[in-house]
Amino acid sequence: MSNQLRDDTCLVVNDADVAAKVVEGEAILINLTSGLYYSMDKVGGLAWSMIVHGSSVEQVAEAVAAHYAVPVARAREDVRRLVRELLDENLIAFSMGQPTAVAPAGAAAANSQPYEAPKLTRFDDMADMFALDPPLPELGAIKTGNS
Amino acid sequence: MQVSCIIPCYNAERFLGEAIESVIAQTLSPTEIIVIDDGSTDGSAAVAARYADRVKYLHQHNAGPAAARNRGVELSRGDFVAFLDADDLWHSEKLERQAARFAARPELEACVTHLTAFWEDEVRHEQEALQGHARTRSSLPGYVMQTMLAHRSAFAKTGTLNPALRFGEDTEWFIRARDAGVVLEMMSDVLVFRRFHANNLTRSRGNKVLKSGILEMVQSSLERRRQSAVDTQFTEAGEKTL
Repeated sequence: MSNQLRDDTCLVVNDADVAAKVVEGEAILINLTSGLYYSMDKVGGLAWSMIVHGSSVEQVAEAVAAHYAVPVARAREDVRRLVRELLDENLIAFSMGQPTAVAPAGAAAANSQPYEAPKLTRFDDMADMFALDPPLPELGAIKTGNS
Repeated sequence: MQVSCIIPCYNAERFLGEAIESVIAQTLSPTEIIVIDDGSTDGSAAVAARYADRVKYLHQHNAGPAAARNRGVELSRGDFVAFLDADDLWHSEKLERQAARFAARPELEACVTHLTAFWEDEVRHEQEALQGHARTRSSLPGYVMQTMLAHRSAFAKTGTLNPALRFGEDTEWFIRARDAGVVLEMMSDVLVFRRFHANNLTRSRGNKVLKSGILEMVQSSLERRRQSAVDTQFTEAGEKTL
């Protein structure tokens, strides 16, 4: 089934609802429709920067193992868990595309950085504040006036 | 309670009169109504002049709605300030119901309300296209200036609106207010009517701009709270060593 997560499944950001950026390795994500926002620490930030480019679970796991002092099997397990969480929160989706060979930022780094399992932290304290103006669907026909 | 009502206005001759009327019709009258004309080139000044007995009018070079509201706060003399956009309307009991909340909760510093949208004929097709979309709900929490009645202390704690922002400046202020510890209440009463028409200022922004703006607000808030947590730890550590 297409909703089965496999290690070679490519992932794609849910662009219609999600805004995200990576700042000093940390990923900050917001789902503009729900108003929930999230942060992911360094390993999560690396994963996100690869998902943005349509990488698969396996590619992300390999990159994590290349950067951090962690066996690839453990990295794969953690990345799978992270990806399931991102899917559950509707931040990403399966892509129909083929994995693309993407070198993450700082790809030359040795696998010596201390490893901590990636963590997705969720915040709901601003949900009401963003509820008023959620992203609009394409309404191209609307005349926008001159302001 | 002395309430100053501030109405920023930009080329709003079509709706400004209705906005002012909805303030004059309040069951709890504000002590002053200030229209800050943000560089209009239409007949907004003439509309404001029709209410010269009730309205103080000030024209400034176009600097955006945040700068206009800040100017209004500067000029206002009430111990409370409220805002209305020149194309929106207040429910006739808006100020009275909010004042009751301040009476019930002396610690309260700012009160916001739910609002609902309505569409002018020229954008009726937009309303129809948005059926079921969150924006068409009959009651939405309005973390925007036109719903707020605030004690001046809320501005003293939070600071002014950020005039560098041309959209999202309301949301950014509320996030800062919350981070600054302002005591704020959201009333579920629908007390503001938000008008959609062909020339809403907010219409000119796309989803991409919306996204990057909101991301910056979230990032800044996270940084402020983390810094605050570090400061608290530092203070606590300092206290322990004393």
